[in-house]
Amino acid sequence: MLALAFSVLITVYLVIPEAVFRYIFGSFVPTRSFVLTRVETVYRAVLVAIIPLLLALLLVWRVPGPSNWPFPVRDNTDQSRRSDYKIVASALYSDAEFVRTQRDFWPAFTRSSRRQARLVCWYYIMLALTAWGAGKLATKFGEYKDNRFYKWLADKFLFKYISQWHPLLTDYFVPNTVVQADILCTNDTLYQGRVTDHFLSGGELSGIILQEPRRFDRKSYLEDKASGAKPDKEKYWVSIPSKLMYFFADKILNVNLTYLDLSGKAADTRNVEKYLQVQLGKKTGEISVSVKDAAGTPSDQAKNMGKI
Amino acid sequence: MITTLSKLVETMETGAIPVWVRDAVQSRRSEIIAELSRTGSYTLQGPDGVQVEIRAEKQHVAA
Repeated sequence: MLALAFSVLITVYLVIPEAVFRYIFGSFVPTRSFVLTRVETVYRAVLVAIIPLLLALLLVWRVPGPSNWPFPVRDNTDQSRRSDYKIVASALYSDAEFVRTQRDFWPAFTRSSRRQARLVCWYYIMLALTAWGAGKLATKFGEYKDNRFYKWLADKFLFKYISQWHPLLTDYFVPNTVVQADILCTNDTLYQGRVTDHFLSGGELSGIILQEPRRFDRKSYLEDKASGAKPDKEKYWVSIPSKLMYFFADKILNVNLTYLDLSGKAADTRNVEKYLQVQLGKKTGEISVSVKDAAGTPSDQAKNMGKI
Repeated sequence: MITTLSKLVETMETGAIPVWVRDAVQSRRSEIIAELSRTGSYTLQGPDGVQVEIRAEKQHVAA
Protein backbone atom coordinates (compact mmCIF):
# COMPACT_ATOMS: atom_id res chain seq x y z
CA MET A 1 0.00 0.00 0.00
CA LEU A 2 2.87 2.33 0.86
CA ALA A 3 4.47 1.60 -2.53
CA LEU A 4 1.24 2.58 -4.27
CA ALA A 5 1.06 5.83 -2.31
CA PHE A 6 4.71 6.50 -3.17
CA SER A 7 4.01 5.95 -6.89
CA VAL A 8 1.10 8.38 -6.75
CA LEU A 9 3.29 11.01 -5.06
CA ILE A 10 6.08 10.55 -7.66
CA THR A 11 3.54 10.98 -10.46
CA VAL A 12 1.92 14.06 -8.92
CA TYR A 13 5.13 15.75 -7.77
CA LEU A 14 7.60 14.82 -10.52
CA VAL A 15 6.18 13.23 -13.66
CA ILE A 16 3.16 15.49 -14.27
CA PRO A 17 5.05 18.72 -13.35
CA GLU A 18 7.80 17.92 -15.86
CA ALA A 19 5.16 17.43 -18.57
CA VAL A 20 3.36 20.65 -17.54
CA PHE A 21 6.65 22.56 -17.55
CA ARG A 22 7.53 21.29 -21.00
CA TYR A 23 4.07 22.15 -22.34
CA ILE A 24 4.17 25.76 -21.08
CA PHE A 25 7.85 26.23 -22.01
CA GLY A 26 7.06 24.82 -25.46
CA SER A 27 4.54 27.59 -26.11
CA PHE A 28 7.50 30.02 -26.22
CA VAL A 29 10.22 27.96 -27.89
CA PRO A 30 9.84 24.63 -29.72
CA THR A 31 11.05 21.84 -27.49
CA ARG A 32 13.16 18.88 -28.48
CA SER A 33 12.28 15.25 -28.01
CA PHE A 34 14.15 13.23 -25.43
CA VAL A 35 15.19 9.64 -25.22
CA LEU A 36 16.23 9.59 -21.59
CA THR A 37 17.15 6.89 -19.14
CA ARG A 38 15.06 6.56 -15.97
CA VAL A 39 17.78 8.28 -13.91
CA GLU A 40 18.00 11.18 -16.37
CA THR A 41 14.20 11.51 -16.32
CA VAL A 42 14.19 11.76 -12.53
CA TYR A 43 17.13 14.19 -12.54
CA ARG A 44 15.42 16.46 -15.07
CA ALA A 45 12.10 16.28 -13.21
CA VAL A 46 13.79 17.17 -9.90
CA LEU A 47 15.57 20.09 -11.60
CA VAL A 48 12.27 21.42 -12.92
CA ALA A 49 10.34 20.79 -9.68
CA ILE A 50 12.71 21.96 -6.97
CA ILE A 51 12.17 25.75 -7.09
CA PRO A 52 8.35 25.70 -7.54
CA LEU A 53 8.04 23.08 -4.81
CA LEU A 54 10.12 25.09 -2.33
CA LEU A 55 8.07 28.20 -3.11
CA ALA A 56 4.82 26.27 -2.69
CA LEU A 57 6.00 24.83 0.65
CA LEU A 58 6.92 28.31 1.84
CA LEU A 59 3.44 29.54 0.90
CA VAL A 60 1.45 26.74 2.53
CA TRP A 61 3.58 26.66 5.67
CA ARG A 62 4.31 30.29 6.36
CA VAL A 63 2.16 32.73 4.38
CA PRO A 64 -1.28 33.65 5.83
CA GLY A 65 -3.97 32.94 3.25
CA PRO A 66 -2.29 30.27 1.13
CA SER A 67 -1.45 28.41 4.37
CA ASN A 68 -5.09 27.38 4.74
CA TRP A 69 -6.64 27.98 1.32
CA PRO A 70 -7.91 26.24 -0.79
CA PHE A 71 -9.06 23.06 0.99
CA PRO A 72 -8.98 24.51 4.52
CA VAL A 73 -8.34 22.22 7.49
CA ARG A 74 -9.40 22.89 11.08
CA ASP A 75 -6.60 22.86 13.64
CA ASN A 76 -3.98 23.30 10.95
CA THR A 77 -0.95 23.48 13.22
CA ASP A 78 2.49 22.02 12.52
CA GLN A 79 1.97 19.52 15.33
CA SER A 80 -1.40 18.23 14.06
CA ARG A 81 0.02 18.02 10.52
CA ARG A 82 2.93 15.86 11.68
CA SER A 83 0.60 13.70 13.77
CA ASP A 84 -1.80 13.15 10.85
CA TYR A 85 0.99 12.19 8.45
CA LYS A 86 2.42 9.81 11.06
CA ILE A 87 -0.94 8.04 11.46
CA VAL A 88 -1.45 7.78 7.69
CA ALA A 89 2.08 6.55 6.95
CA SER A 90 1.95 3.94 9.74
CA ALA A 91 -1.43 2.62 8.63
CA LEU A 92 -0.32 2.41 4.98
CA TYR A 93 2.85 0.61 6.01
CA SER A 94 1.23 -2.09 8.14
CA ASP A 95 -2.21 -3.73 8.06
CA ALA A 96 -2.01 -4.37 11.79
CA GLU A 97 -1.36 -0.68 12.41
CA PHE A 98 -4.25 0.21 10.10
CA VAL A 99 -6.62 -1.99 12.13
CA ARG A 100 -5.30 -0.56 15.40
CA THR A 101 -5.63 3.10 14.35
CA GLN A 102 -8.70 2.74 12.11
CA ARG A 103 -10.74 5.24 14.16
CA ASP A 104 -8.09 7.95 13.81
CA PHE A 105 -6.95 6.95 10.33
CA TRP A 106 -9.82 8.23 8.17
CA PRO A 107 -10.06 11.73 9.73
CA ALA A 108 -6.25 12.00 9.55
CA PHE A 109 -6.27 10.74 5.96
CA THR A 110 -8.95 13.30 4.99
CA ARG A 111 -7.00 16.20 6.55
CA SER A 112 -3.72 15.02 4.96
CA SER A 113 -5.39 14.71 1.56
CA ARG A 114 -6.76 18.23 1.85
CA ARG A 115 -3.32 19.56 2.83
CA GLN A 116 -1.73 17.70 -0.07
CA ALA A 117 -4.35 19.00 -2.50
CA ARG A 118 -3.65 22.56 -1.28
CA LEU A 119 0.11 22.08 -1.65
CA VAL A 120 -0.34 20.62 -5.14
CA CYS A 121 -2.54 23.58 -6.17
CA TRP A 122 0.10 26.12 -5.16
CA TYR A 123 2.88 23.91 -6.49
CA TYR A 124 1.32 23.79 -9.95
CA ILE A 125 0.72 27.54 -9.93
CA MET A 126 4.38 28.14 -9.01
CA LEU A 127 5.42 25.61 -11.63
CA ALA A 128 3.38 27.36 -14.33
CA LEU A 129 4.95 30.71 -13.37
CA THR A 130 8.45 29.19 -13.43
CA ALA A 131 7.81 27.60 -16.83
CA TRP A 132 6.44 30.91 -18.13
CA GLY A 133 9.52 32.78 -16.82
CA ALA A 134 11.90 30.17 -18.23
CA GLY A 135 10.11 30.28 -21.59
CA LYS A 136 10.34 34.08 -21.66
CA LEU A 137 14.04 33.95 -20.78
CA ALA A 138 14.67 31.32 -23.44
CA THR A 139 13.31 33.63 -26.12
CA LYS A 140 15.81 36.36 -25.14
CA PHE A 141 19.01 34.50 -25.99
CA GLY A 142 20.04 36.89 -28.73
CA GLU A 143 19.77 39.86 -26.34
CA TYR A 144 21.49 38.36 -23.31
CA LYS A 145 23.94 35.87 -24.84
CA ASP A 146 26.95 37.86 -23.63
CA ASN A 147 25.75 37.85 -20.02
CA ARG A 148 27.71 35.18 -18.15
CA PHE A 149 24.97 34.29 -15.68
CA TYR A 150 22.37 34.03 -18.45
CA LYS A 151 24.72 31.88 -20.52
CA TRP A 152 25.27 29.55 -17.56
CA LEU A 153 21.53 29.35 -16.87
CA ALA A 154 20.83 28.73 -20.54
CA ASP A 155 23.42 25.96 -20.82
CA LYS A 156 22.46 24.21 -17.62
CA PHE A 157 18.72 24.54 -17.87
CA LEU A 158 16.96 26.42 -20.68
CA PHE A 159 18.75 24.90 -23.67
CA LYS A 160 18.16 21.35 -22.50
CA TYR A 161 14.59 21.75 -23.69
CA ILE A 162 15.03 23.62 -26.97
CA SER A 163 15.02 21.85 -30.31
CA GLN A 164 18.35 22.42 -32.07
CA TRP A 165 16.48 23.29 -35.27
CA HIS A 166 14.80 26.35 -33.79
CA PRO A 167 18.00 28.42 -33.31
CA LEU A 168 19.42 27.24 -36.62
CA LEU A 169 16.40 28.08 -38.76
CA THR A 170 15.17 31.28 -37.09
CA ASP A 171 16.77 34.55 -35.99
CA TYR A 172 17.06 33.17 -32.46
CA PHE A 173 20.87 33.50 -32.30
CA VAL A 174 21.18 36.60 -34.47
CA PRO A 175 18.10 38.80 -33.83
CA ASN A 176 16.60 40.89 -36.62
CA THR A 177 17.98 38.73 -39.38
CA VAL A 178 16.38 36.50 -41.97
CA VAL A 179 17.74 33.06 -42.64
CA GLN A 180 18.80 32.23 -46.17
CA ALA A 181 19.19 28.54 -46.87
CA ASP A 182 21.03 26.78 -49.69
CA ILE A 183 19.50 23.31 -49.73
CA LEU A 184 21.18 20.46 -51.55
CA CYS A 185 18.62 17.75 -52.23
CA THR A 186 19.22 14.04 -52.63
CA ASN A 187 18.73 14.40 -56.42
CA ASP A 188 21.84 16.66 -56.44
CA THR A 189 19.85 19.84 -57.07
CA LEU A 190 20.76 22.99 -55.15
CA TYR A 191 17.99 25.38 -54.12
CA GLN A 192 18.19 28.74 -52.39
CA GLY A 193 15.62 30.86 -50.63
CA ARG A 194 14.63 32.49 -47.38
CA VAL A 195 13.39 30.22 -44.62
CA THR A 196 9.86 31.27 -43.72
CA ASP A 197 8.88 28.28 -41.63
CA HIS A 198 10.03 24.87 -40.58
CA PHE A 199 8.22 21.88 -39.16
CA LEU A 200 9.25 19.56 -36.39
CA SER A 201 8.04 16.11 -35.61
CA GLY A 202 8.97 15.12 -32.08
CA GLY A 203 11.67 17.78 -32.05
CA GLU A 204 13.23 16.55 -35.31
CA LEU A 205 13.04 18.42 -38.61
CA SER A 206 10.33 17.17 -40.95
CA GLY A 207 10.25 19.99 -43.51
CA ILE A 208 11.32 23.52 -44.47
CA ILE A 209 9.46 26.17 -46.47
CA LEU A 210 11.56 28.54 -48.58
CA GLN A 211 10.27 31.86 -49.85
CA GLU A 212 11.13 33.07 -53.37
CA PRO A 213 13.06 29.90 -54.12
CA ARG A 214 15.57 29.55 -56.94
CA ARG A 215 17.48 26.63 -58.37
CA PHE A 216 21.16 26.51 -59.26
CA ASP A 217 21.79 25.41 -62.85
CA ARG A 218 24.81 23.35 -61.92
CA LYS A 219 24.97 21.49 -65.23
CA SER A 220 25.40 24.66 -67.31
CA TYR A 221 27.77 26.09 -64.74
CA LEU A 222 30.03 23.04 -64.88
CA GLU A 223 29.90 22.97 -68.69
CA ASP A 224 30.88 26.64 -68.91
CA LYS A 225 33.61 26.13 -66.35
CA ALA A 226 34.95 23.12 -68.25
CA SER A 227 35.06 25.18 -71.45
CA GLY A 228 37.58 27.46 -69.79
CA ALA A 229 35.29 30.40 -69.06
CA LYS A 230 35.22 32.06 -65.63
CA PRO A 231 31.48 31.89 -64.97
CA ASP A 232 29.76 34.17 -62.48
CA LYS A 233 27.88 31.83 -60.14
CA GLU A 234 25.13 34.37 -59.53
CA LYS A 235 24.01 34.12 -63.19
CA TYR A 236 23.22 30.43 -62.88
CA TRP A 237 20.48 30.85 -60.33
CA VAL A 238 17.10 30.22 -62.00
CA SER A 239 13.99 31.64 -60.33
CA ILE A 240 11.23 29.17 -59.63
CA PRO A 241 7.73 30.51 -60.44
CA SER A 242 6.29 29.90 -57.01
CA LYS A 243 6.16 32.01 -53.90
CA LEU A 244 6.82 29.23 -51.43
CA MET A 245 8.48 25.86 -51.79
CA TYR A 246 8.26 23.01 -49.32
CA PHE A 247 11.16 20.62 -48.79
CA PHE A 248 10.69 17.26 -47.13
CA ALA A 249 13.50 16.74 -44.64
CA ASP A 250 14.23 13.22 -45.84
CA LYS A 251 15.02 14.59 -49.33
CA ILE A 252 17.59 17.07 -48.01
CA LEU A 253 21.25 16.14 -48.12
CA ASN A 254 22.66 19.26 -46.48
CA VAL A 255 21.76 22.87 -45.75
CA ASN A 256 24.02 25.92 -45.90
CA LEU A 257 22.64 28.73 -43.74
CA THR A 258 23.36 32.45 -44.00
CA TYR A 259 21.89 35.05 -41.66
CA LEU A 260 21.06 38.26 -43.50
CA ASP A 261 20.38 41.50 -41.69
CA LEU A 262 17.47 43.73 -42.67
CA SER A 263 19.49 45.45 -45.40
CA GLY A 264 20.11 42.07 -47.01
CA LYS A 265 23.78 42.08 -46.03
CA ALA A 266 25.21 38.87 -44.65
CA ALA A 267 25.51 38.92 -40.88
CA ASP A 268 28.80 37.14 -41.53
CA THR A 269 30.45 40.55 -41.77
CA ARG A 270 29.75 41.12 -38.09
CA ASN A 271 31.33 37.79 -37.26
CA VAL A 272 34.38 38.61 -39.37
CA GLU A 273 34.72 41.90 -37.51
CA LYS A 274 34.41 40.13 -34.17
CA TYR A 275 36.92 37.49 -35.27
CA LEU A 276 39.42 40.11 -36.40
CA GLN A 277 39.07 42.02 -33.14
CA VAL A 278 40.03 38.89 -31.21
CA GLN A 279 42.83 37.86 -33.56
CA LEU A 280 44.37 41.32 -33.81
CA GLY A 281 43.93 42.13 -30.12
CA LYS A 282 41.63 45.10 -30.76
CA LYS A 283 38.72 46.36 -28.70
CA THR A 284 35.18 46.86 -29.97
CA GLY A 285 35.06 49.92 -32.22
CA GLU A 286 38.80 50.03 -32.84
CA ILE A 287 38.48 48.41 -36.24
CA SER A 288 35.73 48.18 -38.84
CA VAL A 289 35.33 45.81 -41.73
CA SER A 290 33.78 46.18 -45.16
CA VAL A 291 33.41 43.55 -47.82
CA LYS A 292 33.60 44.36 -51.52
CA ASP A 293 33.03 42.23 -54.55
CA ALA A 294 35.29 41.95 -57.61
CA ALA A 295 34.00 45.24 -59.06
CA GLY A 296 34.95 47.05 -55.86
CA THR A 297 31.39 47.80 -54.83
CA PRO A 298 30.11 46.86 -51.39
CA SER A 299 28.87 43.36 -51.88
CA ASP A 300 25.24 42.38 -51.18
CA GLN A 301 25.53 39.27 -49.03
CA ALA A 302 29.21 39.37 -50.04
CA LYS A 303 28.41 36.30 -52.15
CA ASN A 304 28.91 34.54 -48.83
CA MET A 305 32.48 35.75 -49.11
CA GLY A 306 33.52 32.82 -51.22
CA LYS A 307 31.73 30.13 -49.23
CA ILE A 308 29.51 28.79 -52.04
CA MET B 1 30.22 16.82 -30.73
CA ILE B 2 28.19 19.88 -29.80
CA THR B 3 26.72 19.38 -26.36
CA THR B 4 25.09 22.72 -25.68
CA LEU B 5 23.42 25.36 -27.77
CA SER B 6 25.87 28.02 -26.60
CA LYS B 7 28.67 25.89 -28.07
CA LEU B 8 26.57 25.75 -31.21
CA VAL B 9 26.55 29.57 -31.22
CA GLU B 10 30.34 29.62 -30.95
CA THR B 11 30.57 27.08 -33.74
CA MET B 12 28.23 29.12 -35.90
CA GLU B 13 30.19 32.30 -35.25
CA THR B 14 33.51 30.61 -36.01
CA GLY B 15 32.00 28.75 -38.96
CA ALA B 16 30.77 32.04 -40.37
CA ILE B 17 34.38 33.12 -40.94
CA PRO B 18 35.47 32.11 -44.45
CA VAL B 19 38.46 29.76 -44.46
CA TRP B 20 40.53 32.11 -46.60
CA VAL B 21 39.99 34.97 -44.11
CA ARG B 22 41.12 32.74 -41.24
CA ASP B 23 44.16 31.52 -43.15
CA ALA B 24 45.15 35.03 -44.23
CA VAL B 25 44.78 36.51 -40.74
CA GLN B 26 46.67 33.70 -39.03
CA SER B 27 49.57 33.76 -41.47
CA ARG B 28 49.85 37.55 -41.72
CA ARG B 29 48.77 38.70 -38.28
CA SER B 30 51.85 40.84 -37.44
CA GLU B 31 51.86 42.31 -40.95
CA ILE B 32 48.21 43.34 -40.66
CA ILE B 33 48.73 44.93 -37.22
CA ALA B 34 51.78 46.85 -38.43
CA GLU B 35 49.98 48.04 -41.57
CA LEU B 36 46.91 49.11 -39.59
CA SER B 37 48.99 51.29 -37.29
CA ARG B 38 51.00 52.69 -40.19
CA THR B 39 48.35 53.43 -42.83
CA GLY B 40 45.10 52.77 -40.97
CA SER B 41 43.82 50.08 -43.32
CA TYR B 42 44.59 46.65 -44.71
CA THR B 43 42.85 44.69 -47.45
CA LEU B 44 42.55 40.93 -47.61
CA GLN B 45 42.12 39.46 -51.09
CA GLY B 46 39.74 36.50 -51.32
CA PRO B 47 38.60 34.16 -54.06
CA ASP B 48 36.53 35.49 -57.00
CA GLY B 49 37.81 39.01 -56.36
CA VAL B 50 36.16 39.39 -52.96
CA GLN B 51 37.96 41.85 -50.70
CA VAL B 52 37.73 42.40 -46.98
CA GLU B 53 38.95 45.82 -45.99
CA ILE B 54 39.99 46.31 -42.37
CA ARG B 55 40.14 49.88 -41.15
CA ALA B 56 41.55 51.18 -37.89
CA GLU B 57 38.97 53.55 -36.44
CA LYS B 58 40.22 56.78 -34.91
CA GLN B 59 39.74 56.73 -31.16
CA HIS B 60 38.69 59.87 -29.32
CA VAL B 61 41.21 60.60 -26.62
CA ALA B 62 39.91 62.30 -23.50
CA ALA B 63 41.53 65.67 -22.92
